[in-house]
Amino acid sequence: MNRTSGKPTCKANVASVADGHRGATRRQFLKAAGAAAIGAPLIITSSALGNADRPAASDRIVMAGIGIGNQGRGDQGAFLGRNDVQYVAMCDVRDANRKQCKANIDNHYQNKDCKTYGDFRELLARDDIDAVHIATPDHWHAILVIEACRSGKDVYCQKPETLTLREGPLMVAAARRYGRVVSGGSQRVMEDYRGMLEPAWAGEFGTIKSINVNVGPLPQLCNLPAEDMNEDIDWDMWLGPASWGPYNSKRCSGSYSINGASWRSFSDYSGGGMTDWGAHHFGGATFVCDVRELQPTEVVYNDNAQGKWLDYIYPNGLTIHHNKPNSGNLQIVGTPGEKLAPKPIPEYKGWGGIYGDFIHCVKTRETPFRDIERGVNTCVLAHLGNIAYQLRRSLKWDAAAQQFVDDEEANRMVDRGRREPWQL
Amino acid sequence: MFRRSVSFLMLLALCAIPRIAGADASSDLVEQIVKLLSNPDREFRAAGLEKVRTSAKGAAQTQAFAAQLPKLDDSARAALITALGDRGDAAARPAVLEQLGSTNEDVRAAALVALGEIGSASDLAVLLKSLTSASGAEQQAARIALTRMRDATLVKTIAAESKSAGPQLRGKLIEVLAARRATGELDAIIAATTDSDGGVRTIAMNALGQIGKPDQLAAMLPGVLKAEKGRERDNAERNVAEVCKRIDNEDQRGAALISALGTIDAGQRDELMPLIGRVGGRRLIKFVADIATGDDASRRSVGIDALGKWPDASSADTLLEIASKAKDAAVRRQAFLAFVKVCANRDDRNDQQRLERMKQALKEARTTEEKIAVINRTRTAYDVESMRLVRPFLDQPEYCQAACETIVELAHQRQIRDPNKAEFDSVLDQVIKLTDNKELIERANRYKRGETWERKR
Amino acid sequence: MLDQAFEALKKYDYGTPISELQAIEDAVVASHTDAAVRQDLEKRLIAALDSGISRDAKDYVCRKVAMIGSPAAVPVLSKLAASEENSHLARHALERIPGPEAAAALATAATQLTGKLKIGAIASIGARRETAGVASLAPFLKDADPAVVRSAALSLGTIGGAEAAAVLQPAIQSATGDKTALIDSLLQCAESLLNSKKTAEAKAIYESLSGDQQPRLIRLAATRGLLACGAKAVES
Repeated sequence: MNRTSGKPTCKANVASVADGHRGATRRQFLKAAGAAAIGAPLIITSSALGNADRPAASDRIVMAGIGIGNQGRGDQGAFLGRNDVQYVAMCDVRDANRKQCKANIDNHYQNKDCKTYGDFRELLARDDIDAVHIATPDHWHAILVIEACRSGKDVYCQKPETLTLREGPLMVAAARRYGRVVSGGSQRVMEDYRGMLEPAWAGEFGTIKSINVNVGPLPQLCNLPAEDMNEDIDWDMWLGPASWGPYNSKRCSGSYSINGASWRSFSDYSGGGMTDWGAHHFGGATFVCDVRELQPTEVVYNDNAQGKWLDYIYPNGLTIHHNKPNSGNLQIVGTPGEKLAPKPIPEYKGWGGIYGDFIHCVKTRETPFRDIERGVNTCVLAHLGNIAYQLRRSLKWDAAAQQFVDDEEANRMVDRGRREPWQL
Repeated sequence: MFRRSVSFLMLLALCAIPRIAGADASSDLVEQIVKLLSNPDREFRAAGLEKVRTSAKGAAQTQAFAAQLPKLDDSARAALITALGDRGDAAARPAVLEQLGSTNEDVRAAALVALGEIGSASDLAVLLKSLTSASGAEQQAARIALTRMRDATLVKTIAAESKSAGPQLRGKLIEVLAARRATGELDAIIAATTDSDGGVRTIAMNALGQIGKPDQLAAMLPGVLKAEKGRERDNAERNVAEVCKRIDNEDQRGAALISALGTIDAGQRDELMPLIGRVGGRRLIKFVADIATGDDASRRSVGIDALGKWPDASSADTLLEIASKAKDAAVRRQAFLAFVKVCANRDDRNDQQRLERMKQALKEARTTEEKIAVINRTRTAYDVESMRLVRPFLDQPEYCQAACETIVELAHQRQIRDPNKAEFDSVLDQVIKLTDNKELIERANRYKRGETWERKR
Repeated sequence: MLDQAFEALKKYDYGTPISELQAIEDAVVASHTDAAVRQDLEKRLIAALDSGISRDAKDYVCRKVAMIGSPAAVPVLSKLAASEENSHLARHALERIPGPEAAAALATAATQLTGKLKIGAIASIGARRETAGVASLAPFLKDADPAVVRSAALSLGTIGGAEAAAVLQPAIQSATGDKTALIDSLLQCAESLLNSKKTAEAKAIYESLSGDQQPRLIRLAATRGLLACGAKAVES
């Protein structure tokens, strides 16, 4: 889908962008001007096409990245490759990442303008940045998203968007408060489950009674021993709001392991496979069943000879199973013989997949496909599941109050204390 | 401090005096929203648009918002039209229809899309016209609108139209039917698979690949035969295979295809052998293997070719047997290369299983060409051992280039490169010294630096 | 099993297999239905916190006390809240223990501690989301340290409601430095009022922030808030 060369078509343009970055003038101009690309959604007018001449500096979205490790590099590449984006800065707690990233970006634009930061607060303080993408470990997501909104930035935040149940509504509230476009970052929700999505929205399954999601494992408490610090990393900043632990390369590895070899495995930084892949699979299931705007009212814990699994009960009668024995991923039980009226499937806006959807919405102020609220609702399933498995019991969830019903211990797990001085 | 708090609480108390709820509140809200719609700051405007989408329900309110359209600049106008579409109140339709005459492409396109939400059957003519005669953006907008319109009778009209329209419109209408998953109109789509226009045929086959059912398998085969050999035929075969996949049971899938083949003249069935390969499955292996090893030499090649198109490695042993027993060098070559190809398929096997197959192939390879094929295909087994298998060939000039390419491809896989960084750095250094291929050198250097590389599409 | 786990706790440190403490985890979960068992378990956890176990072990125990702890655990947690090493997870527990004892302990900590630990305590008062916390937070809005003011403001925003708004509003008027957190918190108060159907009170806050003298982002937020009030009025 990427239709751009990714290269500036005119060096003079790049220079003028850099000039415009000195203050809020360019940004205010962009907001006030009603850029040419602002217009009809979902469709690609000549002015919105990536292969058109590069938009004028004042029409580009000025972006920066926070947390540029494995996933961040991929996200960064997608934004950097767009000619309607000017990528000007990045922040990472690893010096090597900062250096490598700056070299890449400067090489891309053939200049030396990319600024690097070790502290996100300095980056967010810049008035000239319109939007940031966030790909830090999950324990930083809520603080960064909320602070970015407070700074008037739009945000593309990698999945899983939240680490705790309480973070979600606070992130949504911050986005709505300041009218920010905040997109979550699961491209798979739209792209991986089309085989189920299309017939489901066409009404071919009839009323969907249940859908199964196979995903895991649960996160584990990290108790890895101390290692010598063999990388240039700001360890206190990497830990941030998470509890203190000694440096260990596996503790902070950004590899995709969910089995003990990366931060994705550990409960202080992640919800484990439940959130890491659950953000995709639960997201796919809720999209297929058109319950992205809802949260379940109950999670039923099953433990018998067949194994342990969950049933999430939705207010509209749908059940989402988790790891139900002998069930495939996204296996649907519909209503045989029933055909429902078809509904149009929501698609990405703009061009260029989920990244393009975000950029389009930054320009038009529309709601992105994985609006933060939908990302949050998806993560709620994973968090409720983690808590039910940990407590080994069924739970009732009051979505309006964001509390468990009559379960003191479960309610104590809705959030967690943040290490000083961090706070939402 | 205390006095300030008290005064603020008093202010709050004053504001707490109840207001007249209902109509006044609604008109206040409409006034608030309308004021924002012309705000020069798009983020303030967006706040108003958000409420247009969701609040102040009622036809009068909708008309109040729509009445602002002529007062706005093009950008704000297009955004308001979109919001009115999302609002879904047909009271905005007359105002939106007027905007189809705008001189601005964005505005016209937004109006077309909005008709998908608030239009009626009487707007069909304008949408059909826009599908082919307007700008690219408007064509796309009309397609979206036709896909989204909720009128249940629409698909019948579109299907009927698709039979008489010109080729360009015909194709677009079939795309709309597919996007709407109009499974009740499959006959119209099937008819189009043998259309005189190649573009229409391809669109129809794609549509069936998207929404066709196994019941339509036999009806799709004439379309495969009608498709020109090459890209169109490949595409047609892929779509039939997609429909076959909707039968979960492998044996039943094979039986369904064999049954469908029975409806085709025997003389044309061999033309469909590659299709059988794409579908795969145990039952079909035997069906094709009989042809590949049969008495008719002209049919043997077709059979081997089909086995080489298998979607997984289940035809590998059959192909190796044919290659091993072949007396004819050409048959041997064809069967062995097909064997290597299926062994390398990235199917449900894990990388170790794929690697074991490549080791087996390397042992069985007799010629330089066969060994090069194995070295090349080893890149699909993402395992550090694959690199170790191929590395010694860097020292042999006839295999060196293939080995360089495979090693760089394997290095692209971060999950095997990172845990074995020192070893990969060393072998990539060798590649950099040995190859003249600039892209390989650039990639090798990037991987050594821990960077990735974006494959050109 | 449980005895063995508590014995293992004495030697537990970074690198020890967590499985050695599994029986404690099991006991915490099982105590859900038995108050007496839970009380006994809490006693053992408190005793462990008061012993010479490692930092890592104390952190582990704090996590468990956070799940089942009662006011009985407050004294030992208060001590740990003042220590650089265990303050975070001790606060994590204090945030969750119901009753005035834990709230008072955090209020005392916020007054007596300095630096990051003070800020942590202020944040924890907010995390309890009790209107009663407003009184203990209000004085910090006048602190000389901007980080303390910021933390107190955010905590007040988290608590929300008219009481928190009433202390934030004058603080905003008198503030001379960065007002971002103060105003953000006041906006949060307005949201909580709106959610409680106190539309007029919320509207008054938004109107106070919608003047031309306010930064653009704040005016935008106030405008959005006023629209939300308008929509709420129509609904009601």
